[in-house]
Amino acid sequence: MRVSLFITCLSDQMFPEVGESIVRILHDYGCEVDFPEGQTCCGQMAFNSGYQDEAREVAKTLIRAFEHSEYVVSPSGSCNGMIHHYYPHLFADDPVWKAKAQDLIDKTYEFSQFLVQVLKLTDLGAKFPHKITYHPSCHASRLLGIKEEPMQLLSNVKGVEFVDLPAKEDCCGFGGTFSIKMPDMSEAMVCEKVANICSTGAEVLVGSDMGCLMSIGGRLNKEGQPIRVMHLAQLLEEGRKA
Amino acid sequence: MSTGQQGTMRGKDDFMRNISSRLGRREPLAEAPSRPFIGVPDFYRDRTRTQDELIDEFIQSWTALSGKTLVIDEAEAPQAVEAYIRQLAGDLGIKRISRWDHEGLEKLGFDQSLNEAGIEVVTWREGGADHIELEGLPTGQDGNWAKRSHLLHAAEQCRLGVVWPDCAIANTSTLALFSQGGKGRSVSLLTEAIVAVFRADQIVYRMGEAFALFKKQYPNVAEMPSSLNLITGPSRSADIENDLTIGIHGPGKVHAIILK
Amino acid sequence: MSAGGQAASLDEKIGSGLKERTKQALGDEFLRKAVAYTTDKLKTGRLQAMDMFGDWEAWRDRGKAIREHTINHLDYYLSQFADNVTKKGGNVYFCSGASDAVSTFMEIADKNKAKLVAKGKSMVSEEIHLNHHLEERNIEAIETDLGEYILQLAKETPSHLIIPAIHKNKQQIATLFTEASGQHFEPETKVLAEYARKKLRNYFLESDIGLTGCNFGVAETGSITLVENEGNGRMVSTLPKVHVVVMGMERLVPTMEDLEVVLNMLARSATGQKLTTYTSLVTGPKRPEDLDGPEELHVIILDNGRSQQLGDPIFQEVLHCIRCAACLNVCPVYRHVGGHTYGTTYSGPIGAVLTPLIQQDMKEAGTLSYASSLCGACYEACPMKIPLHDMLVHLRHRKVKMKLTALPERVAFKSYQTVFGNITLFKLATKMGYYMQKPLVRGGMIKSGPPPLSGWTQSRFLPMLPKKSFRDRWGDLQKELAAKNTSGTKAKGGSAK
Repeated sequence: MRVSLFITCLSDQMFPEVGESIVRILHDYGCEVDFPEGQTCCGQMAFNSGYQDEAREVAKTLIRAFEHSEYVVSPSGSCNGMIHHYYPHLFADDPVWKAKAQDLIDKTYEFSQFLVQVLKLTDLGAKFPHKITYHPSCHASRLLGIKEEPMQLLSNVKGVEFVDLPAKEDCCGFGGTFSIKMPDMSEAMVCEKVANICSTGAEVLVGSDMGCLMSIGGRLNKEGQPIRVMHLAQLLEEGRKA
Repeated sequence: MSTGQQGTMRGKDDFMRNISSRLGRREPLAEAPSRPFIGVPDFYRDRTRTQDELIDEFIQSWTALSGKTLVIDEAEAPQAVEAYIRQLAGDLGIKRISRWDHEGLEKLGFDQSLNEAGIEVVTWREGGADHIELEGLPTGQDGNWAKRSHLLHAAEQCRLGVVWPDCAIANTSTLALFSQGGKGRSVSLLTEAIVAVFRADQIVYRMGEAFALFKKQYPNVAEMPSSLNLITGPSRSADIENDLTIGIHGPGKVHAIILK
Repeated sequence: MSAGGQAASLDEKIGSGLKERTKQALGDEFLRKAVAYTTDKLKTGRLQAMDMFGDWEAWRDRGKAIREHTINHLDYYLSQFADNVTKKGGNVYFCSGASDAVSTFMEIADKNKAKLVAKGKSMVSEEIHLNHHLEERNIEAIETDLGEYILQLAKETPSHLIIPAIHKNKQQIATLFTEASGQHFEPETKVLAEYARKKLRNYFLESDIGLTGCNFGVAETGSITLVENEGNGRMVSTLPKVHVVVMGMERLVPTMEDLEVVLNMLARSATGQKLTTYTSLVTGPKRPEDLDGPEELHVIILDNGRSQQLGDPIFQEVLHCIRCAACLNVCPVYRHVGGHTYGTTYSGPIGAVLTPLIQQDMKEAGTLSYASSLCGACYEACPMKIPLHDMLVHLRHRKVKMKLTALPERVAFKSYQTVFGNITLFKLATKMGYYMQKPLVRGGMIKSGPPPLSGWTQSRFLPMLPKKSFRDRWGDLQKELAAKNTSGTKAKGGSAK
């Protein structure tokens, strides 16, 4: 099975180790992983700020980059949400690109979704003897309906002590440019999220979107909270080595 | 009987033309559009309940809203209802009650014995309060209220109202009152407490059945009562610090007597 | 300043005053606690009520289908509704704008020589700032919903669709009642409510006109459906001799069968009740045989920007809203800043979408579209499945198209298109990024920076860009995997073909 990694601009530039974990896991399960170099960004940053024309041009680079891929897997529910939910609108008036966008939509999966739905894997034989909690990101759960998959994968990790995050469905306050445009609102939201995380007593916060994790992690750092922040793929990879 | 005169209409044509042109039509739609579906989802419509289940469901929901219920044999109703009202009026120190001018309540015939127990009964009909001496009016002798009927004045001074709902809805524990004529709105509104008396076979499962009954009883719009009141528990408000307050404007104590 | 006047002046600064109001709200500990507490309670209630009802998604689909059908055929159903109202002896007035509706109301008031109007809860009357206009005409208007009454004493506007005084505490309410009545009040809910009951009862009895909104008009019968818990709606539609209804033109359902659907969904979505205490269908004024009820019924049907949404492929659905406020109760932004921060009659996600559309004001009101992290909680909670999160994004787009965004932002996104749309430039720019960040990095983190970065760093640190991006590491990673392949390491779980 051929799988192309859609790294997302954020993980490419800021969190390359997340991509490495995904590639190693997929490779271990027999996937032939490639990395189409032409990819940059899904365009969400511009789209969500109202700049649809600009987003469309960037989206085209992504569609082009994965034109020949069999499966596309990314570490982000949010970027995949952009593709699944908004590409049809973005290319509604252009039948050629609309068809290409649909092709990309049909083969694009978020990491946990791909493991559970396509590879039918829920137990990666990982061990992780720590107290953890999970932040389900809004776009993964609400736009793509990814709710069970990360839980299934985590429930099979040996040694994990899982604590449910209070008000887990509440947004962390990142929201892309929202965090910069409405910094006070965003701050109030991330502070509450962090307070809820701290209340669990978890040593590790796990998530499936580096945007949220960068935001929450940034607040944890500013508060000096000794809580480790990990993408699900990182936890699984580390757990498999243990 | 007269059904009142036709009301006036202003500005309709332009308003409709604007709407239909926005919706992409040259003329306002004159024929009823076809409906692939209507009302509640099938799984809900198709639910059936036995009469005992309906009674249970009504009581459970009604009680959860702080409502009180009494289930009695229909044969015992005249004594039991009278006793219940007398007890309740006694507990609340109530000397004056209002009731619907309703066949079912007439048959129970509690007016006289309540009277003998020192409780005046205002019946919602012309002259139904002629025997009542008012305790002055809350807003004095000069305003709008002073100009209203003696019946209304008297009803406003009653602290308990007795009604016979047209049906009751089990699913939400709701009394359905098709208010008109002798079935006055004020009786279920102006008091501190209400007692609703009805037969078990008047309980339906869902609101739609109550509406169907209403439409069956009044197939023409012209004949419809001016008020259909669904009452689900006591008057309440959570407007002060989300602190639930019972009995804010309407009756705060609600009682249902079900006759089996 | 009057409540109406306050709202009118706020309207001018909906967008430009947003950040200032946000700061104020965030500094108000009581407000934040009260809003969070109440919305949590309503949210939990809603989830429980949905659960008990069974198959909520089927209900949502049905609710949406009914609203969609109604709005798509609004000309037919509105006409049918109006005809039935007049058939029953009610008077109908179609009003295209707020001023039209206000003057129609004044005409009715003048004809009845009205001096006192008792009002049931009506968001449309807030929308047209009716109280303000009544005050100018020396007509006393009394809000009789307990929450609205409290706000009227405080000269404030509602901050929530269904719990208007969500931001007021007992102490503040006791003080207001003390000032208004001259007698002393302790901050006890029961005592305060008892006072309001007595005080407002006299207004019900004395008023010349009772005014209500309309939750749903039923086209096939011409009925006005009023939904409430307190009984004030029944009072004002029963006791005064004249009943005036002000309603948005979209608030209709075709039949009583459809009414069953929306009523069940409204109560559950709004407060988690199975049904509100009082649901009243007013069909015409009192009949000849009735011994109570109003002698006159007047129905003012308002457009006020609503028809502009008809036929719009993106925004028509906003007219499906049944004003349950479920979107406010789940919105993380509303939770922290409350309703007044929006500076509009309708707050929360629905307010942020509805206000710029019906006021046709993208410049100021359109700015509310940024008061959202686009988390989608509003859509998930909406019983009518209105995609508010999408609409917010499309409003931002509209703002961009109208060139109402700041020049530096427009330039930034143009550059984004150029750089992210070209892999060579992208690689070059991201390399430069690594070096350009250096002056800002302290201990592997960026802890402060110039705007717009400062928006981030005021509350969070930013990790520094690593020296090697993923694409820089890809070559090494490939070698590592190739080596693994030759050494024959395989997954415990087997292979995927």
